Amino acid sequence: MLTDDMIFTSESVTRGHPDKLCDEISDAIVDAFREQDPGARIVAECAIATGVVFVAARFSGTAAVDIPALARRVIAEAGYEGAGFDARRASILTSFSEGDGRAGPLDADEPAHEQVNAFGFACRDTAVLMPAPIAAAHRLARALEAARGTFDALAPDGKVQVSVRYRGHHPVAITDVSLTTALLRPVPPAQLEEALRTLVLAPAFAEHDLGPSPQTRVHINPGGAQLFGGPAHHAGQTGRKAGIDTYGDFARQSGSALCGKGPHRIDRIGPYMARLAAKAVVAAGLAERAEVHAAYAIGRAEPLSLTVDTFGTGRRPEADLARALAEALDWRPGAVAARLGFDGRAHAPGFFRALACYGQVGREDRGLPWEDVGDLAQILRAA
Amino acid sequence: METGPAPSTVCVQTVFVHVAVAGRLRLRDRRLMRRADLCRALRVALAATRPDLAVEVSSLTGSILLHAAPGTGAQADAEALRAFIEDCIGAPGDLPPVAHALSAADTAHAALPWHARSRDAARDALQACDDGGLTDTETAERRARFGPNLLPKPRARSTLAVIVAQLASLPVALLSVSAALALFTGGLADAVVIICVVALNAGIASVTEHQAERTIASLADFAPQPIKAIRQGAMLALPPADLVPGDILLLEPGTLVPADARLLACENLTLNEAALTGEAMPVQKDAAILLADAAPLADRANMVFRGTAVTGGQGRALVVAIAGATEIGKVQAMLGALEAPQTPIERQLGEIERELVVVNGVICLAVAALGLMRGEPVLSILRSAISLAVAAIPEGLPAVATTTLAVGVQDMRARQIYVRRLDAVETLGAVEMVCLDKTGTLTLPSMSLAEIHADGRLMRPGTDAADPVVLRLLETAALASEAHMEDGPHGQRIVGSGTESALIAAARDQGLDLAALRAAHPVLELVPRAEGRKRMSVLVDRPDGGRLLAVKGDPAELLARCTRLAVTEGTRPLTEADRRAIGAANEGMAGRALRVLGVAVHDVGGDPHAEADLVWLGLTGIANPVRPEVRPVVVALHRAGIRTVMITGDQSATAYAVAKDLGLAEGSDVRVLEAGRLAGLSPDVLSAIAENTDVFARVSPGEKLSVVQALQARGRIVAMTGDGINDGPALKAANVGVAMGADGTDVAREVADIVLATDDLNGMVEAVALGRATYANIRKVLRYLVSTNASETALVLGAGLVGIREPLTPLQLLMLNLVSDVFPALALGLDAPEAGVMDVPPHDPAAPILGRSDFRRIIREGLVMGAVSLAGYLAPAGVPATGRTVAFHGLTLAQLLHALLCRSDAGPLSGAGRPANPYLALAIGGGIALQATAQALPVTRRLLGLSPLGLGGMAGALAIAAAATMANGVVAALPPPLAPPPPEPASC
Repeated sequence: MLTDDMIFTSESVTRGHPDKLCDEISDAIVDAFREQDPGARIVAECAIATGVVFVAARFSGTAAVDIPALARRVIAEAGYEGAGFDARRASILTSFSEGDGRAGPLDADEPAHEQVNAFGFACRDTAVLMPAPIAAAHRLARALEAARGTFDALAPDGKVQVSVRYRGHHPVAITDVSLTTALLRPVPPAQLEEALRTLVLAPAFAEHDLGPSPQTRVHINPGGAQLFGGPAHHAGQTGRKAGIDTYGDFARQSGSALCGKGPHRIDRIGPYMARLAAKAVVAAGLAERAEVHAAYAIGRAEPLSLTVDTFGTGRRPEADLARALAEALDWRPGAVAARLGFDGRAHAPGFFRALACYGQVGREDRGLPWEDVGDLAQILRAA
Repeated sequence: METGPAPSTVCVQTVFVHVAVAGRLRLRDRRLMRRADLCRALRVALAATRPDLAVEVSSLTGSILLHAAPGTGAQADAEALRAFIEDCIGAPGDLPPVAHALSAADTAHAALPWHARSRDAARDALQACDDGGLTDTETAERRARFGPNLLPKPRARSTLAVIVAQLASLPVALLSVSAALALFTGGLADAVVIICVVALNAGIASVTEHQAERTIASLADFAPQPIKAIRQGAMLALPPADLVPGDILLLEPGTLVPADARLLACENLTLNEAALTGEAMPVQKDAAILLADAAPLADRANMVFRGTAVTGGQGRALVVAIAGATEIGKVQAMLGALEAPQTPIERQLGEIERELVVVNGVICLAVAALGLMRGEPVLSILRSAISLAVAAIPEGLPAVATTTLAVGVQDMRARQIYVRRLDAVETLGAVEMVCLDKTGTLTLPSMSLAEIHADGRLMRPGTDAADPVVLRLLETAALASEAHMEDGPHGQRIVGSGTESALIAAARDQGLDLAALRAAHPVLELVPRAEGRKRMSVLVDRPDGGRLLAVKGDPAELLARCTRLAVTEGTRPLTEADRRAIGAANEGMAGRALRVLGVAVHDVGGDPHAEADLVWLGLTGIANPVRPEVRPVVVALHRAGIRTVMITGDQSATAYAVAKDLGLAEGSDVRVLEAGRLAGLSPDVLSAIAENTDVFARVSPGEKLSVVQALQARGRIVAMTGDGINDGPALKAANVGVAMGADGTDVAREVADIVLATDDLNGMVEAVALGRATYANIRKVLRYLVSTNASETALVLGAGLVGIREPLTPLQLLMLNLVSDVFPALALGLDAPEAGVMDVPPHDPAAPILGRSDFRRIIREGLVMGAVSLAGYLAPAGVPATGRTVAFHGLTLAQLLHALLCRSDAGPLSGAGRPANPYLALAIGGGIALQATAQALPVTRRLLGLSPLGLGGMAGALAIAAAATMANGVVAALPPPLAPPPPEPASC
């Protein structure tokens, strides 16, 4: 996958980016249903275009949620109030349908309802075993979001891209950083660059060894500054930022969206489980990089296949690793859900909503069950 | 005209001709002779000031004929009228401002419009008194001068006018020529018969058309609500027709302004002026401002105008113009809107008629040419051609639509569905979408307690009667309430806000004696809800000497002040888990569209301003219940292929719950559009979205119009129900505006096309069914008339081609066409709806009433009847008189029986089990009897040129009828059935 000398680019966006806004609305709906009824099965999808928010929700269970009110709250909290796209004035078209399917948490032996390739990945680029470009991009995106608090000309809609030079399979330098942010009022380019350098670039890399060097090219609004931006300017849709949600295109990911799906869906929790497995392999010191792939088929609980790819960095045969993972973990959807804490127990409020932005794997801030690999790494080491 | 009664000796040139006939006044003035312009001006002036009178002015004779509506007594003001006419003729230039020019002092400002005058100036000009209003004498004097405050209405033509119009038609002209020719050739009897036939036909047509016109004229009749006005120092409720300039009006929400008036005072007054200016949003008024002369109508903020409606605020206004002098009266006079406009079907049928006239004219010429080629006598050719023309030209097709629609109107009226525009009947049949206004239409006006959450359980009131916590909760809620019972005419009723009334009603239904409860707990202090305080507390004395604090309000706010939880066994401390469970229950109830209130109590009392340490009793969920009769209506509309759309000001969750309850989305996803601001959406986007939306939530009243227009933008035929003042513009914009009767405001009814007097939405289904049936009936009549006419053409043309002269005599043709045809056609127009009328989708509104395939079928059926008759003619082999007789009877019978086929589009077998049409049975029976009589009596036999028939002849006639009917019936029954208008595969 990696040649000896290459540059890899990953991107991340702020909460106000229309695609991410859709992701966040979808996941906020999942949360709202599960807070009322922890066993609710819900799938919510969202699209925003021409100032209209479209939400389609299919659910079973006892919960009842005022979806437009919730969507307005998310939009307002993302910062869209007043000029341009406005949470209060947006039109929201919801399509509700109550599924006649089963409700409640997954049974242990309930088969998969979708045909899914679940991929998980881990590598030694960073402390949380994530690829360096996406990790840097998320830090920048968070800093860009945070900068709105101090620099009020920044609009909620922003995007960052980070290009990292790899040499000998290790990230060695950041060659390019691009920051695109919409503005609420015109700002002279020099002033904007100054503000972004101090408010975004500096804090984002403060405590990390891989940071921008004097040679790093920084592009501020390379396509020209945009006023307001956001949904008034471009459309958004749930699930279009699957790369940002996972490994920044550095590793494979399933084509289906994560956001907006309740944890009864194997295409949401399968990738988490695979990440857990891959991270454990790397954390156990059994490989420098690892990708775990579980293939689920409709109507079957056990995955059809479970494979590990260590890209030639493995200390054991890949087949052995796969066998060890299959033994150490129960890969049936119901068991996956239980392992990850989705067995009908209540979560912290806003659990999924928080995942919608800045990645769903490799997070240090949420205490996610699929990042906690201590036990599993030990088992693998011992195996 | 300000000089008082004219001295009769000097200048009276207008004289009474007679005043004897009640309600009529005839005058004459020689100055009007040969002055068409003057006559017109006088007519306009009279119409404007006295719309209650019908005016005829003749420039030929100089006569002026005034008809008064019965009971208004034109004679009483005969002299005033005469003087008025005298003045008009004397000074025609002064005519228009007649209602304004009141006093000599005023003439100086005559040109100054009212909005440019100060309030005082306006008052002075009209000699009005702000506080007391006009005195009775003033009122009487002004009423005599200005007449009643009525706008001219379309009136039914007089019987004579209808008959004259009938006689002035093309067929009658042709028949007159025919009669003259008959006289010329010595056929006196023929001429007499022709005249009789013409008279009979015109008589029947006149009667039906007159009936229809009376129905149409009565459409506009709608007793207006009385208006609050000040007269003689008192507030009265006056019929709007009684208003005179100078009256003081009191305006309040819902008032339909009955005259143009200058505002004297107002407070937050807003009006909907859509009727006049087209502006859908309410207009803010201001009594104090003074406007420039040239201020456009829409900007005259210090005026209110007839036909507009008060949407908010209060006001007082001085009437400055009434009747025809009002702005809307002027518009009406300008448009000449006194004739009911033609409906689209009438226009279509007019076109069809014109086409058929041309086609048949050419055929007649062809028949005549064939005759000439054979060297037949010219006169006889001419008579035959004219008879054929009369027979083949389907006269009065538009009238078919008019009379059938009018029958539909009467049918609906019998079911308490009042139609206010004739074409609404037709449009109803094509309705594709119904917009339902939630409040008032779909839900009951009152609220009721739907759910209780207490002691950790969700319960429905009534089912857990024994639960002590529920009883305690209801008791406390009843104490913490300002609603009370009152003795009303129908027993006790609850007076109070919706939610409190619902709680009280639930407590009563649970068997609590409220009066005793209240009496035992006298109120010490009541602290109401306030800004930032979403709860209400009542501190009461307990019968045992202690005190009790009853609290109800926002669940979260209340729960924060509770420390204990009431359970069946008493109370226990409130745990974190309890709080979470209550919070979840609250969310769920809110999600089910309930208004949720928490109830808590403190058994010892405490400060009602700072409640603390309360015992949590439970949650109450109050619903705005759906009317039970609405669900089947929605199902019926869906079965009829009509989409239902709900428009509501509620939040999505509430709207969704109601929509789901009603099955509005036909079992699929419920799509809810909650627009923050519809105006912010581009019309294209809105109409694209609207097309697929089931519920429009949080729609402000003014935005209903946008919704209706968005639906129409896609070419949909939209009906809209409504009852509120603000529904006016949307009702007007909808293709069919339906006002809900009993509680509806006047405004909604005024602009609606249909009024459902029973307030029962089921009327909507009936109205659509009748609309569809009426449309279908028009098609049936058309099919019958055009195909029978075609059969006559086919017979005569076919006979001409095979060299037979006159297969039917002219009189036979007339008899056939003008007598036998008429009654079955009328009966078809009265046919009952077909059983499946509400099981099929609406017809394509863009398709013509008769499509290509319909015409193909009609011509095919005509050809079959004509061809079989021709065969019947030829059968007796060479005896023309017998052949003619057989063909005449055969074709007549075939036509009568054909009416049965025309009852259904789907073929003769589909009608099994349908109620018979008694009118049709009568018409067919009568037709057969008529034929038998004509054949039996020697005199009619002679007149019609019939020869005696033997058994063989009779059998021949019957065979013709049977063969033609069978042939057409079999083809009609063949699949694929002929569906109404195209597209469809050709079936012939």
